[in-house]
Amino acid sequence: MSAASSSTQTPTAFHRFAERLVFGNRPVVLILFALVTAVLTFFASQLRVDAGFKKQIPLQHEYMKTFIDYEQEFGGANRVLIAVMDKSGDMFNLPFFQTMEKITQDAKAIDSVDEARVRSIFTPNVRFVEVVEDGFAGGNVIPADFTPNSEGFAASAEQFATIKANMEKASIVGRLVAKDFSGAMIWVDLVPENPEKGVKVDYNRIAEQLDQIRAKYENEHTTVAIIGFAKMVGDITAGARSVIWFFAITIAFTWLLLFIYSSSVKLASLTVFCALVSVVWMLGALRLLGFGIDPMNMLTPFLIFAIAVSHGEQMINRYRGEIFFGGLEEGTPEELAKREGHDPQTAARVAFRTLLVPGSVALVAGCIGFAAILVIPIRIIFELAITATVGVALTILTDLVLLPVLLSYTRLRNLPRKRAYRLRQLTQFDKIWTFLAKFSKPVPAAVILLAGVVIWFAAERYGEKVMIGDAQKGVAELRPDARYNQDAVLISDKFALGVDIINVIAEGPPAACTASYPTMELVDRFAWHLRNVEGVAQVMTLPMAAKIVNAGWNEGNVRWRELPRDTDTLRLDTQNFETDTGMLNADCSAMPIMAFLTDHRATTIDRVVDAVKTFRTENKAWAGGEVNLREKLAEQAASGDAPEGSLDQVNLRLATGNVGVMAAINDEVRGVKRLILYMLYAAVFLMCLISFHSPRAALCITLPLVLVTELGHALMVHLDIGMKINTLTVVALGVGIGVDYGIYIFARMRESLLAGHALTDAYFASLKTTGIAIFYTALTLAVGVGTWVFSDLKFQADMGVMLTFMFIVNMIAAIVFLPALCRWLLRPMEKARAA
Amino acid sequence: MHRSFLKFLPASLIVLAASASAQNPPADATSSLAAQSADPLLQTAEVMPLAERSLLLDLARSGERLVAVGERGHVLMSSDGKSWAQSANVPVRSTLTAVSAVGADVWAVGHDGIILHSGNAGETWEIQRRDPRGAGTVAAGDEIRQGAPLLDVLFSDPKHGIAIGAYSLLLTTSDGGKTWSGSRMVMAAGAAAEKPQAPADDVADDAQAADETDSAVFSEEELEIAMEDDPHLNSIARTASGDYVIVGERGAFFRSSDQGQTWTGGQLPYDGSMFGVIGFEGQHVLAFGLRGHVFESRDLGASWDEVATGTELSLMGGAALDNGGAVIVGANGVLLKRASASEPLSASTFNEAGVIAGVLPATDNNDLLIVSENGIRRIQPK
Repeated sequence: MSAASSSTQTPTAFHRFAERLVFGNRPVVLILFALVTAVLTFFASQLRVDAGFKKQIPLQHEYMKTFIDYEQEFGGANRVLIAVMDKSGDMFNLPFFQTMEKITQDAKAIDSVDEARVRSIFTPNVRFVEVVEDGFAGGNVIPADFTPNSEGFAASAEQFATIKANMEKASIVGRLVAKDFSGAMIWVDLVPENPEKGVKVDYNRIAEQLDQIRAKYENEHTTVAIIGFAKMVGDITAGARSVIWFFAITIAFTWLLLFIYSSSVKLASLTVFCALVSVVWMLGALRLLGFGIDPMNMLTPFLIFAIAVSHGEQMINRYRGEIFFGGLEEGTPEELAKREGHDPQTAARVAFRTLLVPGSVALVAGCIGFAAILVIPIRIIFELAITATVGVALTILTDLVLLPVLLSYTRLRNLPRKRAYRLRQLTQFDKIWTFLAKFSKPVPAAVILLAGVVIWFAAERYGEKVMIGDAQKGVAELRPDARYNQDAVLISDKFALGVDIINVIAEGPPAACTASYPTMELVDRFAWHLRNVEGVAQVMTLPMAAKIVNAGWNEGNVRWRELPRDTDTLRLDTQNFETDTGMLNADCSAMPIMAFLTDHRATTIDRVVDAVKTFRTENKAWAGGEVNLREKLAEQAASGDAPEGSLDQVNLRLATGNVGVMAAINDEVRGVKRLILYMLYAAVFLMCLISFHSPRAALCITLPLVLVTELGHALMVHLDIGMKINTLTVVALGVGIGVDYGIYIFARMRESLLAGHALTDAYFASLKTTGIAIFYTALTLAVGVGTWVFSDLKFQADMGVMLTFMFIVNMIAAIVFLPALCRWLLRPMEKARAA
Repeated sequence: MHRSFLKFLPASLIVLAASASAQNPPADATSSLAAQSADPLLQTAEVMPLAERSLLLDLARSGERLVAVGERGHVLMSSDGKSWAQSANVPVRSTLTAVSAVGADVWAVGHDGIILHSGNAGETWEIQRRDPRGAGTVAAGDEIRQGAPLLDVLFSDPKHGIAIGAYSLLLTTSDGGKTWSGSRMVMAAGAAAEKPQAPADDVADDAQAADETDSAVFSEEELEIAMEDDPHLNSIARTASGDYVIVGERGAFFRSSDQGQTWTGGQLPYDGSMFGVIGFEGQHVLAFGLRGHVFESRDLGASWDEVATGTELSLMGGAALDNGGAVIVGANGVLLKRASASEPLSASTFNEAGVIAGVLPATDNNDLLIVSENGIRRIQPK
């Protein structure tokens, strides 16, 4: 019993209090848990899928302030693109135009659609300008007498020729009309979300309506391709439904592994049961916090389940030691075989007492770690961080309180047989443990540490290349062969423009576009500078259009394509542009410069953003972060103290459009990707410091984590997974969970060291007792997340690979590097005594 | 666009007021101003990667080299018509509308009344003239206002050149552009006789007055009337006989048989504007312009025949081929070509070019070099 007593030698006041509280009133504890579980199950059942465009956006970011300022006037970021393609490759036939007109009508009827901003060849806000003898004329692309859906209408070849010419004149080829005239597109802007004013956008409902449109019109002649945030949410939600199955499979696998490990149905079931309780509690708590479950957030319940199982396994492990052998499973099998086991209640109490601290430390470190991702100022991350933190916190209760109490009631059948199984299990791996224990000897330890540094350095160098954002067409959350991504490829192939857009807003005083030639000239030159940036396919802005109109006033003579300096002529050139062209606001104090990009790779976005920043600095066209110059000048004008020269002031503000949003998110990710990890490391370090009272010990646990994280980044580079909000978060979670191995091994080792054992012996002992548990834990977690590889959602599959890697490598790092670090950080002076 | 110029000279004889070069600032007077204003008139043109894809409006052959000009002061040079280099030494960013070259001497004209000269086939440029309206010179702090844009330029030798532009602006030089003298070519009587002139004056003046007080806007109708009397001069050509012909707004044309000293005006049988004119052997000329109209004259405009084109797209530029052949380009990538004077024009389309403004045959094969709103390219006509 000498070994066993070491674990119980110094029960502190806290330990005694906690033990009395939990084990003094076991029935009460169970009833409380049952009640809370019942209540939270009820709330969990009320959870709804809840997605939001603005939840994905860092609303505090400079660019997104611009987005919020102008979402009413220009919209554009939250857009659904519906491409109607004729399978014959030629759109000029009556059925196609019939379909196109109908879909345009149907698109206007979709929930939350901003009708005035729906654009297609059939909407009046799409016009062309034509030069005639007496000046120039404009009109709708589809002539008024072309009514494909009226009864008895027959289209003539001339009409189609006219329409084709109008499309070219309206310069919508490549945007609203396919480059090869094989189809046309409808741009559907959704109304801005504004929960305060009761404007909630139900994306799943919109996605449903989009699917209905597709079902109605897609046939052997016509393809309907749909992309946009709303559609993506719908598809991800649909994909996420398969998560239920993964959950079931994960539970089954976990149970099986636990059963193999413990040879006990009861122990395996209890562990899984407690883990499920924490998941239910977490879901219930979500509902109570007023959150929905976001499709992007589907992974959190898995993680909570995995964490709960991993900690439950440690509890089971310790419990078995007590119930079989009355203490830690140290010593030879012969010695152990002679020892007497405790009764279940004592065993549970001892397990509770010994694991309370390391378990809480690991879980609290995890909590703080998850809370660290709160530094990303994005609503969905906030929800995820809260969800994960609450989940992990609740796991402390279920795993460290509920599980031991349940265990104390458990009568294991066939105890002798299970004991024999455990004895075999214990000696089975002795050779491996003996080998691993050598890692704590000075020379091997030095070699390992050196290797660790080399690997870290290599991983760091390779991991540096990790891509920010993502690169492929469509969305990284879905698989490349998913319909959504196929549609995205189709649309960007056929249309080239209109998929990846970044809008810079030029702000000036009221009537800037008519009153200020310098403003228009600057905006025009800015547009030209943007056009010259690699990755920009096309730029559209009011001055460019005004130049064409100016030539129009001069009979279309291209040599007059110039901005007039005269205010009168300038007005003449711009007065016919309505706000629904999206090129100016009502008083022409804001003009978007719309840049159509070839792709949305982070390098492309960075190049464009840098070009904008360089230009506005060099040309004094920047009023500073988040200043709305338009409002400022309007106020000054109203109060009569407008400073001299304010008429020609321009403020170029980044950025709206889907790429504007990406730029802001990339910016945030870049800003916090290191910070999050540092906070995570700091949290782990601090928790270890508090519980083990030794900065060196804390280092021993933290350093392997750093190595594994860098390896994780290297893997992301290797797998072409971009650093996005989602992945950043998952890597953080991986670290938070990975730390458990180190903490449990170290806690056990410390006990042994305090009992006076030499380092190598202590390490051998902790491997022998917790090594298998840790191995099984890693396996359980890895199997749980490994199944995700088969998910419909590419994001989930990628994260499955990432997390499996993180769990396994964290386990290996803990087993290999922890003893080596301990050798050189904790006991450099200790002579390796003869074993 | 409101104007109040002289418009009452009688008859068809047009007199140039040889008012020396008083209105032209010395070329170096502005160098000290360059840093003070972001105005395109005072800024060196920016060298940009896509300059050869920008709006280019004319090109000319300077010795062995091709020189193309266009928006933002873009000047591009090439020896083979395939790879182009942008000149980094263009002192303005104004849109350059036309270019003419004699040997290594190149002149480019454009908006803001700009005339640039290069003595080394486009490498470096100096300003010979600029015309910010309302000021004789550009001084620091002056409000720069719109000068009449120049739309074409033609040099017959290194000394003698003619530049033409909006509002009947006509400038001549006999010293290689060191001094430009000129006035506005005023057409009266003749062709425009049946149009009501005096009321037009009133309307224009009234409109201008109104504009200055309450920011009224011209109606299209008012503008139409106001434009009739001093038509924009769009294009100038020289025939083998040494005669000059200018075509302009609303079917106006002018010819001169004395090196541009005196001009006779006339009116095409079509009321629309002509944007370009090509001179051939003898007094053979071809004018083209709005909505696909082409007119041919073998007697320097004494009589005109309309040439069928089969297109309604406006024609912007052209070049002479051997034997009275011609190539004419215009809106939506349209290209008309005939191999000789006896053949009809046949049309083809280069959609990706957009509006084509100018064309020049390559010297080494049948390729054509075109400048358009989408830049410069070498094409093989069908």
